[in-house]
Amino acid sequence: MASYEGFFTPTFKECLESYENNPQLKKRVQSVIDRILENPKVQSHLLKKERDIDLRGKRRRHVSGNYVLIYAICDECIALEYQSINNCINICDGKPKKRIVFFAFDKWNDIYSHEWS
Amino acid sequence: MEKKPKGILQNIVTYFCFKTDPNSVTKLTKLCYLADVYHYQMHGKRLTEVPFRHFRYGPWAEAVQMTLEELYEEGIIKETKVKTKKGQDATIPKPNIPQTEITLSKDAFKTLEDVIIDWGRKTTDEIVNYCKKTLPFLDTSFNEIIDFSRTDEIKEYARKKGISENKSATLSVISNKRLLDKTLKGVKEAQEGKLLTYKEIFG
Repeated sequence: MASYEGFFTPTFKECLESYENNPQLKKRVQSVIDRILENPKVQSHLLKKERDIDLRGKRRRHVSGNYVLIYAICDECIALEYQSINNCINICDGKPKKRIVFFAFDKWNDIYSHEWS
Repeated sequence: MEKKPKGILQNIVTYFCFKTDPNSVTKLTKLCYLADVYHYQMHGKRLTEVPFRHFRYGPWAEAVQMTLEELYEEGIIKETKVKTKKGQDATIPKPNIPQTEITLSKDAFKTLEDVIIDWGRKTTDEIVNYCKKTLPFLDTSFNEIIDFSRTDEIKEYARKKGISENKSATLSVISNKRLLDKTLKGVKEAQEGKLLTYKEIFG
């Protein structure tokens, strides 16, 4: 049984459905999500605010084959006082819950680009 | 008595020989390399301890060739002579027995399956080209042993730029417009209370 409960945006669903021609990828993503729901911080990085784009309270996790997942861990978001940034109104009452919101998933084509700035 | 591969590399090589066709020693070596790259990306550690070197035609490991020799001797894998599409003679490794038992962890099986899904049907040239673009290969000098700790592009970018890993991860997202747009759209949906359950996504 997973430690955390997962919630997903319609955009996340669309992202996943855009790879319908690769059903194995869905299984791979599901496997990574299961792992995240067990242990959400492992192999991920907490994002920041850079160049006026505020990604605080969200995490980035790599999926093999050059894919990336973006999600927020509810109790971490609250502990870091970022709930006003993420503001997931339907599932957040300001109290730390064992929940994770998955915002997006996509191919990361710039994986070996050495210039991101 | 059933013939079974011994040790992690024999198990990996045998698994690839049973699961990918057509194969070649070069393709097999690159698949083993990608298994280490994929496993590192998912778990922060390699699957094997095989020393791969940076060679002209991509990552190369003598240990894979030696493991194949062992598997030929044990009768698990056999050498089969074939004509390539270019009309050249080639020797490819194929199973010599109808089935065998592979002993690997669940995570290792998952990694090998992912590699096969992505690369099992690709040509040797396609795999070589991809391997040559992977970060640990790019960041290793010719003939040197490949350092897999450089597999994590976020850590590597942070190290090169002298910035935190979190800043590096953030820049990686911001620099990818499509991913950023989707992320911001997803955040907006969450703010509007549009959220789906695990069951609605995966059934």
